[in-house]
Amino acid sequence: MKRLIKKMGFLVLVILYAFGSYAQQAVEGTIMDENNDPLPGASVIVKGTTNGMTTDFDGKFKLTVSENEILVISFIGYKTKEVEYTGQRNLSINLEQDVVGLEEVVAIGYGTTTKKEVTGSVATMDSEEFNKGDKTDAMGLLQGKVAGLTIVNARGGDPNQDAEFLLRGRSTMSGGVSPLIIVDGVPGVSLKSVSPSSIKSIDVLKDGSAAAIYGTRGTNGVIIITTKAPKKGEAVVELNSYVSTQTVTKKLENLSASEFRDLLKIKYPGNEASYDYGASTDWFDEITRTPFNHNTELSLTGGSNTLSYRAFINYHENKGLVIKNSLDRLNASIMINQKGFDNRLKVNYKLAYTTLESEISDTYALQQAFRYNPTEPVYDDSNPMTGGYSLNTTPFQYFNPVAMINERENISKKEFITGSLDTSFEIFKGFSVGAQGSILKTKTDDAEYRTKFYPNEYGLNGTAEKSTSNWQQKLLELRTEYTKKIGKHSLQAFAGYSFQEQEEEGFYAINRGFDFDFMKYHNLGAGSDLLNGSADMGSEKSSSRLISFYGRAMYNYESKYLVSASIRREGSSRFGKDQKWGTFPAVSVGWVATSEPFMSNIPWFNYLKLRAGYGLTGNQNIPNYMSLQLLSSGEKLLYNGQWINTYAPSSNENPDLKWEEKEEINLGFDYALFDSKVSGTLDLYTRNTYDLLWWYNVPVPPNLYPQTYDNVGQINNKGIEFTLNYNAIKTSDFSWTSTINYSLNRNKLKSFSDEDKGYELSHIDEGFVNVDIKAYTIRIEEGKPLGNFYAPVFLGLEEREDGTYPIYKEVDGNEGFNADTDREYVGNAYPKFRLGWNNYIKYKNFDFSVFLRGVFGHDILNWHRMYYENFMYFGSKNILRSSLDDINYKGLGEYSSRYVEDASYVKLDNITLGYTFKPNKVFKSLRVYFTGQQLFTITNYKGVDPEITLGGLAPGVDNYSYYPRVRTYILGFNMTF
Amino acid sequence: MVKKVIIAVFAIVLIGTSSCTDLDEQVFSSVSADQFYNNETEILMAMGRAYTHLRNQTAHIWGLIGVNTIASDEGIIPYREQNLWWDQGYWIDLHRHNFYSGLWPIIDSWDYCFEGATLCNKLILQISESPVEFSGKENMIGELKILRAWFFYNAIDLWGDVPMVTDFTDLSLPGKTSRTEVFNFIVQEINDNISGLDDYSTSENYGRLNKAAAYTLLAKLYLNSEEWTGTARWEEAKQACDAVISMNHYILEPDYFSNFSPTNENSGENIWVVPFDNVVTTGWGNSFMMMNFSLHSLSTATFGFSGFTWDGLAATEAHYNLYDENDSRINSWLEGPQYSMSGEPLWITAGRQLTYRPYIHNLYEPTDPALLDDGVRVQKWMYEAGNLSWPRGMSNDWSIFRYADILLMKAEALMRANGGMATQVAVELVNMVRERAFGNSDSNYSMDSLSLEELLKERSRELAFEGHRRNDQIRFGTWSNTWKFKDAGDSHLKLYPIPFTALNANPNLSQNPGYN
Repeated sequence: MKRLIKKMGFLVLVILYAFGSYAQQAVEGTIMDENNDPLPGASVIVKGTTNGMTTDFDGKFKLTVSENEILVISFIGYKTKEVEYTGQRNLSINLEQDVVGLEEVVAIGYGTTTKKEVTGSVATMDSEEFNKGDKTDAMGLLQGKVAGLTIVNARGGDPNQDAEFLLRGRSTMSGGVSPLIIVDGVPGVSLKSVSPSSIKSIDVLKDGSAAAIYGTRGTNGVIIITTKAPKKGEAVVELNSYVSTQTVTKKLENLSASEFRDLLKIKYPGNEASYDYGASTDWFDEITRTPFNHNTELSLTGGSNTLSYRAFINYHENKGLVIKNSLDRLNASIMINQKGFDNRLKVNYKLAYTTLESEISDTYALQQAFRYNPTEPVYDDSNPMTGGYSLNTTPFQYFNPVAMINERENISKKEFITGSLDTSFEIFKGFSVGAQGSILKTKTDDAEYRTKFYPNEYGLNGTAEKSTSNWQQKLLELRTEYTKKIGKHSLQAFAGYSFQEQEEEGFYAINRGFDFDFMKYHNLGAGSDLLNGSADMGSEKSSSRLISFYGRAMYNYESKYLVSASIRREGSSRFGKDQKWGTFPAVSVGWVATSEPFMSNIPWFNYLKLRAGYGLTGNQNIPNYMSLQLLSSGEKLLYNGQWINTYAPSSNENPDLKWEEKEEINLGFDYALFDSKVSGTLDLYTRNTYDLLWWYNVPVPPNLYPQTYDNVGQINNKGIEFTLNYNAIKTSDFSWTSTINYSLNRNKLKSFSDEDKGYELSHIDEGFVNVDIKAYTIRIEEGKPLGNFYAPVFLGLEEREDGTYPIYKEVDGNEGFNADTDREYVGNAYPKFRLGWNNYIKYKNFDFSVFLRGVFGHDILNWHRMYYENFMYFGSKNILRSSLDDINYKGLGEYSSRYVEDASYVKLDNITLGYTFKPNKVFKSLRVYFTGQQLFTITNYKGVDPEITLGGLAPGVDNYSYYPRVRTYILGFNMTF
Repeated sequence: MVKKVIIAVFAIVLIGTSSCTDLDEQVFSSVSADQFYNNETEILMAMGRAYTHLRNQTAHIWGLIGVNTIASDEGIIPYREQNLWWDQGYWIDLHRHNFYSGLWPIIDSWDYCFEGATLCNKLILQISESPVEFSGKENMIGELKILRAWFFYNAIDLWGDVPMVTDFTDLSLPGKTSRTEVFNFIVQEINDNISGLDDYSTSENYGRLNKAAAYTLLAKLYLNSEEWTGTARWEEAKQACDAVISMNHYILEPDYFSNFSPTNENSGENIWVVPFDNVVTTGWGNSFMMMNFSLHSLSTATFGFSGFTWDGLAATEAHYNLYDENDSRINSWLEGPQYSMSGEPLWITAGRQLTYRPYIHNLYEPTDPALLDDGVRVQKWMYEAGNLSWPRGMSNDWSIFRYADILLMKAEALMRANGGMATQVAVELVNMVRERAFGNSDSNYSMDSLSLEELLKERSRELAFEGHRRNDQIRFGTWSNTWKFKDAGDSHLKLYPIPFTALNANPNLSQNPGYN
């Protein structure tokens, strides 16, 4: 059989040769670079045929070509060249170096430009550059890859977590910090509704000059996601699939049952029996598992010149490490691009539907698994009240974690619908008008049932909760666009109007007291609390509007001198009566220095563009109705024997409430050196946010409530961002590319008071540690950065007769140590700088990539050590194993610098090894790969993971709510037919 | 065709731009203030908020119970084995009189007083400005003024000189007004507005202020006048008590505990109450959850209710020892080995039965702490069987003023006017209370045996944990004394420090003397 195929193949070749030999000549040639050095491995193909080869070690090739045929010569890193063959016997062709990706399209909001002409600070990531692996949402693709954009996965391996963002430092006190997400031109799309593998590229508008076109939503940056577009041509089917599994990297290390017993002998001699329940239980093992997950997606693209389509479907199953914690996602979309009237009319339709079903994890159960006494058994069959679980009611906040997980079901279902229609019509050459309408809908159905055996709720006979919410956004945008090129002058301009309305409705109901657990939350009315009056029910609705007029003009001369200016006049319903409207201008300029004659003398300097930009943006990411005096129904009043509603103002009113405004200056350059082997960008920025929105403490009296939401204060963030791409090796068989990004940000609360308004606040305290310790851990002070830990300074241990005690520095001038006043700044939660380092190596059909991510110079407050690295709770509760290091320690759980730890880390985020098969009759392409995610972390931090939340005003607090960290292993393939 | 497209696009542009530049916020789930106060009922519903604010005082252990009871020689929350109730030492510092401006119960009490007073200011303004006229409107404003007087009364009791703002439109930052000036103001307010109140509580006005309550408040003010203003007003105090007594409406309930039961709305003794309901008033700051504060969770089986209780608040040993064994009021406390409703012993661990004992081993000694069952527990407010799981609380209404207190106050006023010596009327008044507790006259006081010292003890037994103890101890001069776990203190501790939160927000306030 094999022989037959070989023979047949030979026959085919002979026939082809025979037919093709007419008027053909054998040509020899050499492909060289600009310096006449031969280029081995370049590809030479006769255009429109499969006739071609790659050059040998000396850059030589040999082909048979007919006259007037066109040779296409291409090589990575060089501009592709087409040469018409005019009958020579010998050819010598020079390729010109391509300055990396200058023609690459960059999305800048309401349009695109090229890398060459962009003047703002915009980072563009193509799908090849994305993080590979098992990503639950689109931001996982970018983590660590974009200088200045911090993405934190604070909950380790929890498939239902939301990634946290921070762009160029925290620039608000109470407003949201999430960037504006735009998916295929539609703002406000939930990242959860976008399948990561359907994304073609992501652009991040970082500085104010780039983001100001989005006005009141631009402060936190704009992330523009472009999904894979329809492609005309024959139908192409793409099938991608992977399976993955997880193992625990790190969890909290508590005492095993035997260690616990040994310690009882020391701490409670003669009284061990009070705390030893006779069993040996590993509570962590009891509530975790080894998950197996998979992801499959199928797409179909094709179409004609006037109508092309892409259909896509994705099923993703992601189980968490913890029992009853999972995410199932089904995502389907169809995009159609239509053209008419000689391509003057363009219409794009998109319809996407996503459904998620999540089992929400209970991090409190994980916390219980840590603190639960390992000598207690899981089950106690003799106790009918608990349903056979063991019960111990003495220790405070102490619940059997296995029962907590088994006796509770918490399901959250979400549906996302995106529909959009984008049309444009070219009225005359260069001038077009367009309209875009879109509708987004998100429906959430949450349901929870806790059985009569759920700890902490014995006697309630089951609690069922259901809640739903419906969110929708309607958007209409109208635009006119004009582009013109006269000689060396290019102009691109547009103006638009936008009307956006959002509406949200919610409903919930809670009932208790069920006859049996069987119906869960599927028959809410059956519970007895409805009859006795303590069932709970509520609903709410709110809406908001955003209206804007905007425009932008971009002009350049010879692509050498570039200028861009934009303005947005925007109004938001969320602000005070007379403060609804704001104006947000921006301007940026660029100069391609290497296009000047004097720069051509420096041969190793291939490209240099200097950029400068200024832009004003706002932040309207606050709740609705904050400026109004609203009366909410409050607690009930007994009146005439009846309980009636009371109504009271829910907050101090503030009719002058307005935007936080951020002003940003960005200076930067893009460069390429040494035959463009080295390239990258550098940006310097400073951003000032004015009129910070915050709940300012106001005196009562005269105010009704002790806080008023008002505009006071100013924050500055400044920093450096740097990227470097190094194409170290590039041959036909072997290439190696290394990319480094670096970012640094410094943050300062410049002012926090306003004498005219009567706010003479110098600091506020945040990060309250509630249980037992009752201390504020973070102080926000005028003139200092946010995220400062303010703590008693731990000096060391003091040996006393009965054991060791901590000693603290006394700084307040009063005799004796006072935990409230003897404090200093002992650390800061925000990283000093970040590094990402990616390597991509290709050898023949193998590809290999490794990505390291480092975050440096920040501190974390380690709650678990603070509470459990002593013997305060020991006996009734388990403690950290590290307590054994100082068995005579007599200190209690107290807040001090001892638990504010350096949390710098380097993570091996990703290693991928892939192999690409040669195309054959079955498939056009096939790649199989193996990926390892989060394989290790290098850090001195003693907690579970130094990558924790940086959100809010108490960042860097590693509290009870933790999820174990996992390594993920993935095996998958990508195939097209 | 091209033309049609152009026309269509421009039509869309026109529709879009002309219809929508409207940014007024549409409100759905609340009412905006300018759409409210349309009729008497709505005004009443607004005024109700000032009354529901009263629930804070008992609902939050952090607040008034903390500063009035745990800081006194009556109540205590020791640091117990297994680190229960450490709470960064708040309860320990309170009991030891180690007061500082960040002590949570002090902050919470401040908020209770001043948020309450400001709420009254706002309501007074809004009701006055409302165009809606009805017959009882003036009385309603008067009622709010007396309610505001209650908040100021608590404020001068706890802090002495306090910021006093009575006009909601005045946005200037207030300084301190002297205790005497506030005292005079609220006395004046009560006298000016008392006539509009109902005489006494009925099922219609239950929970609202009435004349009897206003007179009781006056009596309290006059009784403390010497301590607070330097001017003794014993006669006025006696007259205020007489005003209540002469109504001939209130009685001493034969059963002491019926004043505290879940159905105590029928009590003929409670003058002014804060109504609570197991189902309706739930959650922090809104429910009465004495069971949570005090009982070990095993005790839920004793009373047959569901929920996890927190094993904290106990009576001091000295307080428990004040009771004679024949004094029925000793049953305010849960003492001895504990059993379930069906008589099964309750075991903390194998072989260790839950046994509440009066003795408290230590207040704060982490290496040798109080035991889980040290200290007798509160059961004065009878625990109802059933569902008391979070966020539910108890249905027992909290009595702010009780007729027994009127009798004891009058006795005190008489004795103090008599140079601290008993008078016949005073002895009779105290014995009314005492006979009710003993069920007979065997333990009655005589002219010889009734001293101010004895009267203070009787007040403590009768009014234990009802929020009077700190005020009494200061007036009777025992606040600065030594008691178990507490050293003798300086006189500046008779006032609490002003919370740092208030000082930070208002630079015109200065800290009270003795605190820095």
